[in-house]
Amino acid sequence: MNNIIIPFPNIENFKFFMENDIDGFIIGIEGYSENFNNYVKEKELNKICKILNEKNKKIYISLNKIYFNNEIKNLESLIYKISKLEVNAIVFSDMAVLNIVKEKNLNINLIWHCKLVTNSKTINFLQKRGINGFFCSSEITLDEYIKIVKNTTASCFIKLFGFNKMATSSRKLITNYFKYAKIKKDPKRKYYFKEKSSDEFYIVVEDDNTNFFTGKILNGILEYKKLINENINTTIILDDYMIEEAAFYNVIEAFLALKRCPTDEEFANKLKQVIDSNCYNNTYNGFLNKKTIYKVKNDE
Amino acid sequence: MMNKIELLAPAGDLEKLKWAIMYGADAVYIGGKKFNLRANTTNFTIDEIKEGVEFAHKHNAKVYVTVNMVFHEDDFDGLIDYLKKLEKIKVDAIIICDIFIIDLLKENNINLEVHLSTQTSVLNKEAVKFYKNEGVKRIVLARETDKNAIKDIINKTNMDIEVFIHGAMCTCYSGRCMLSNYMTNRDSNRGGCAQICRWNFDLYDEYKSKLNSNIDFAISPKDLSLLKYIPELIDMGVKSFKIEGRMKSVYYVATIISVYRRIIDRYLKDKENYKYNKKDEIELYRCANRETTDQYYDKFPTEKEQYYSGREEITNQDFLGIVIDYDKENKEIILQQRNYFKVGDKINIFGPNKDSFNLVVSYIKNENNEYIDCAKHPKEIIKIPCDKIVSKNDLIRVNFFS
Repeated sequence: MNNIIIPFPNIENFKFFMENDIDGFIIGIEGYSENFNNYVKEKELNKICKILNEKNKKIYISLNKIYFNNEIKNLESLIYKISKLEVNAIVFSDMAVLNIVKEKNLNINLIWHCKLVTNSKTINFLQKRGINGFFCSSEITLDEYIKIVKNTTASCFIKLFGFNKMATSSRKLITNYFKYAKIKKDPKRKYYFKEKSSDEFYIVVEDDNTNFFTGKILNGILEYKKLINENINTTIILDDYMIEEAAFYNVIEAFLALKRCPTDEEFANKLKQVIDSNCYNNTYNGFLNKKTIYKVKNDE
Repeated sequence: MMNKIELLAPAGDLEKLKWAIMYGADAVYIGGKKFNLRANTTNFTIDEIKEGVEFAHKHNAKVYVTVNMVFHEDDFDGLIDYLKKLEKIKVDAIIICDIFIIDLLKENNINLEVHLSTQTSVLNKEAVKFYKNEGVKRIVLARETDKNAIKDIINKTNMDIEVFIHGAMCTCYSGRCMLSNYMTNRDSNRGGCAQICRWNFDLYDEYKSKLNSNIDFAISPKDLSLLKYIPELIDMGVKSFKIEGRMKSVYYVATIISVYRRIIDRYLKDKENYKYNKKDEIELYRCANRETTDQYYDKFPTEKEQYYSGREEITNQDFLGIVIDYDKENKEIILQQRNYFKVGDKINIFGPNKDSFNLVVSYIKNENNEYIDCAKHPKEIIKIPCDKIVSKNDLIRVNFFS
């Protein structure tokens, strides 16, 4: 059965998500995670985990940043605290997390989430070193993903809704630009950028880092249908980052509806349209059906 | 006893490999035709890698081969065979990003030293420890690492650390950047980087209204140079100083390598009396036509470490020619011209293991020994007078010191 998980919502909407069929939550921790609409403070973690466990929801703690050397001490302490909680796994991007868990012999599952997750050999390498699963890169096609899933026994996670991240810079690129251009605006808001000769908008947001996102929203509900129909055992991530709350509710309902009735082609297409219209038709399916056409030449 | 510091140069082809080693590189890093991240450079065939390794070893230098692409499920064909070939021709190490290669080497009994590419964005000691435990011999730290981190990482892990000291910077974390793929469908992690971070953009607010500014939204960093910090980095215990730029010219590589070679040797020879020489800086910065800063090394980069709109990239025309031979009888340099110069111009001649010297061009002769006013034909063979004996492969440039 394919689980569906979403980022942990804000406290006001907590109840809605507790009562629906969402299987679990990815929790962003203030200071240690990025690209969440809502962050949980370290001190609130224990309480939230208890509530989620009572409702039998899966819990994934996201440590999805790359950490500077001077952040390691606090990171160690946080990982130790998480290992004492009842959570399903830590989702990590920096090998520091894996090393800390191994060195301290902590009893916690690990899910690797990195742009570099594009093949099964690397996943299997890390599985031997202690990871339990992976979030795949957004750069691979659905067919590549299916091949990977078939070539590994690690738990597989794929994002099928939300803005895709393109890159992260540790520089404060919006702040820097505003200073240079003498623009008095808040650098912490969402901005769009586009090349002069193009009509394609992309998103740039600055928090601890500067993050670049696609301007279009990934809608992979038809790919979800394919995964179900081909019996691919995977967890689906629906990402609400920068998505309007009401629209996200409808997206969740659409995916849950498909989960209940995955065989009807026409129904799936209708659900796709529901999601598209909730996203102002600003949707696409990313690389899921588009192979990268340019790579290193293979001639020797 | 002197610390052994490696000066590591880029080489986009066999010619550049030889020039880099001639001008003082202890090692070069190159890419083969397969599995590396610079699809647009000439790159090396296996035979060329073999020749490069033989040349390097003859000159007590090393060759590292980048096998640093991020593999997709269909990209493995030929990899084991390729790694076996690299082992057979005795390359000194491979530089990888995708870590399954570590197991692949073991499973196939391939004995190759492994260095970890900066594409993995290693910033901290715990990540270093992880890779060290896996048998990685050297880590190329992320260019976002500052001096305190470098020092702490070396002290706490005793790992061989390689640090970029000069060249272009990525704006985003290397190896985790998908701008190129998303915006041009060219996968940077498989060799197709379209250098999106060098483009100029317009910035819009959340309602998609264009911000009112004459200045483009740009994210391009200035180049990195840690020239001033070489002694400090040597004392920290950094093992290798890396120069970026496999796509740069022979002149660029020769100039950059010779300057850093001089500084490293000068410091190691007499640490107490070492002094920073402004002349080195002029020579270095003049060669590249981009501004340089120390980026993350000493402080967090600000708007001053970036470029915005209006930057003019002027083609560098300092490089005047390559010495082909010296005619002792007539006391003339025979050279191949690379940029325009004329009678009366002040020039500077430099070469491996020697001090540069200045000269005023008192006459120019063509191949037929006819006097000409100027050298204006690219790659034309010409002669100029010079009392001092010069060597083949010395380089001639504009005298910008006076």
